[in-house]
Amino acid sequence: MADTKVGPMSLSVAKDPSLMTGAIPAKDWMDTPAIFKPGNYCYPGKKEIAAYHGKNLPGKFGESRDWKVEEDDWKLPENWKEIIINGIKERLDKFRSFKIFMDCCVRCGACADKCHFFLGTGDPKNMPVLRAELLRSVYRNEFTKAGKILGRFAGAREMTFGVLKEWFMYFYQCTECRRCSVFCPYGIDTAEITMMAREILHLVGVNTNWILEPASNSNRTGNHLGLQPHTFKENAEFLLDDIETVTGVRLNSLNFNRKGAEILFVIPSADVFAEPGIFTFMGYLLMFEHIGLDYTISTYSSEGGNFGLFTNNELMKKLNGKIYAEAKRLGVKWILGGECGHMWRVLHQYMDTMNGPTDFLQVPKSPITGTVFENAASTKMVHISEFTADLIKHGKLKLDPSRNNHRKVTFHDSCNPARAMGLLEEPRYILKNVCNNFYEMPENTIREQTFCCGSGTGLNTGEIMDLRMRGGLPRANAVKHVHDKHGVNMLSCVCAIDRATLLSLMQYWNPDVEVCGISELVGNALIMEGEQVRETGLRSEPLEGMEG
Amino acid sequence: MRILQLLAEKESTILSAWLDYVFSDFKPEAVRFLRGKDRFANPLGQGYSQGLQDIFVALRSEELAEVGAVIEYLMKLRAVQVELAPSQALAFLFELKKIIRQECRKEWSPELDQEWPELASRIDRLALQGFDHYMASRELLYQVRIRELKSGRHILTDHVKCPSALVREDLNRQKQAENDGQP
Repeated sequence: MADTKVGPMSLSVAKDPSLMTGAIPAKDWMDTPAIFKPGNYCYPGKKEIAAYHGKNLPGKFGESRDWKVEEDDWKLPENWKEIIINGIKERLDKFRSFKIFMDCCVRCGACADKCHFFLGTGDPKNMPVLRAELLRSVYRNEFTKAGKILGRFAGAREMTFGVLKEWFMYFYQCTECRRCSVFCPYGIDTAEITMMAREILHLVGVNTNWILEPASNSNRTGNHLGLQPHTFKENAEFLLDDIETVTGVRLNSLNFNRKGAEILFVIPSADVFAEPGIFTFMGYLLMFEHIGLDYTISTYSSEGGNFGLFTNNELMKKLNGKIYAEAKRLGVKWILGGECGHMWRVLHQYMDTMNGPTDFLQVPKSPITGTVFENAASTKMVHISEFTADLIKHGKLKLDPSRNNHRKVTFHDSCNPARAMGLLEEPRYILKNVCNNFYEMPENTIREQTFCCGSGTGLNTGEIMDLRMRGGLPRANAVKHVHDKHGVNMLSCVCAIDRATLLSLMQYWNPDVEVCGISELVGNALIMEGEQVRETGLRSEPLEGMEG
Repeated sequence: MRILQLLAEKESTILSAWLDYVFSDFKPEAVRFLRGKDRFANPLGQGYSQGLQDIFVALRSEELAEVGAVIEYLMKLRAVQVELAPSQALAFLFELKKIIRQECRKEWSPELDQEWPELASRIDRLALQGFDHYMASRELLYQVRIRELKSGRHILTDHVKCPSALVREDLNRQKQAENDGQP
């Protein structure tokens, strides 16, 4: 909601209501300043946390200080422009893709109406082409002849504080979901432009706390919330009691830091402490027990998510490194990954280059079915949905899909698993086997064209709830359609940030729809040896016919 | 009422002017896209255009039909448009009066003057409903935020001991052992 100034407002209302809303001047985008208001920006990083990162990676996080986004003085270093221009130069030299993406856009506009933030806010600077132009204009001014000579006529402009504000506003209204890239005839990866912009912003200490704090916790303890090993372990073990209450079976296989296990299982940490992720975690555990999997969980590599991805490649590499380090220390053969979103972008696209090769691991092979996951031959890391789908395909899971009859399910393709690793069929195959009521959302809102939850890349913070509800509108709108048409009451997904943020999105737009991970539905359907008659699902909700 | 008949006749021009008014909150570059017809590719534009149409159809019916859900949805859209003050968010409902008078000025007659207060009051009732839904949406937004803050934390606070509690337990155990060891 706008910051209401009663005086001017009553004046404008009294004069003529139509002036209030019709008064936005049609200025050129370069002349339209970014205006920060409560609800449209993230809080800046706390001084001590920025300092902590700066100590670990000198120079990459700028000067730590207290600053306020709505104030005109961001307490930037004197030479901040120089730092930024040098930062751009360094990255142009280092990343060829960045250089190409700066040069090759012909502004055809194919991406313009594909971004969920544009569709939800109607703000032209959220058109991916224009968002990239915020950075390109400075690039042209500093690094191209045409820009140096022709200036604004060539789409170039100087780096100013106003431009910096624009960058902070709009590169934090991009979730790096890459939907726009699907439509770009040149294949420009706009997410990587946002990544570069955020790296450069961090160089002058322009940052957000919601990203810096989880990243610092991950660096120190291995997960976003800063859970220490014993707490992480106890949280997970606590869920065994719930599983026993629901199924009557006490699971014995949950273990931590066990050397010599065949498989290291890495999950987003939210799965052990936050609803509804904990129900997904129960589903994992039930399935592992069901098939007798030889796995272990590391309390040090206790986070699949990597908020380093939203700061700079150096921190991303560092945080990612713990996965292979733990795999090596524990002497496992390969790694299985849980239902997480951006974790899979890092794992699938960057991990091998950053922290590979992994000559100490083997090409993943399912010990139950013998399937060799050739697709993961290099990274040695398999997605739980690939693993589960393979088990079902080989008839290794005893399933009673009617236990999910109280759910009318649709599937949200989480951006990164869908677009960054091509995981499209496996979750659907699982869903069709573990529940009887599955309905797809409209074609142009799923699979490669899936709409983001609107809260990825560290935008899942409370202070921008307004903005998140707008960014998530295209997704919520498609869910509303299947809710109205088929009575869908469960939105399933394979991402921890989705599980947390789609829930909020649904509470606002579609209050009758709940959110779950795929593995929760698997857990409900699994017929465990020695189980009691199941009266409830994993979240203690009554099953169909058990409502009394 | 004659006025309702006139509204039915002028529906498309009034709706078009009303939608233009709502879209004037957005920059011209965006409005082109907001006019797109695919409701899934253009949820905001279509949300508005469908919503305004539903309200208008209700308004021009003999009995003012129930459109609470439509107004609720429109107000949810408005309530998260942070650049709008509450008055701006609701202005489009009041503005309908002016648009109707403007679009029907040629056909206007003294007979309609007599019917106008009833129609104006209908619009006011819709606007008041809008006010309720706008406030409810803002409340809901904060509730969602609070729920998010709370979720997950209860496990840490209610079920798991914090490190210092564990250290304290260890110390107590040691102390106990020492005490037990004493003759």
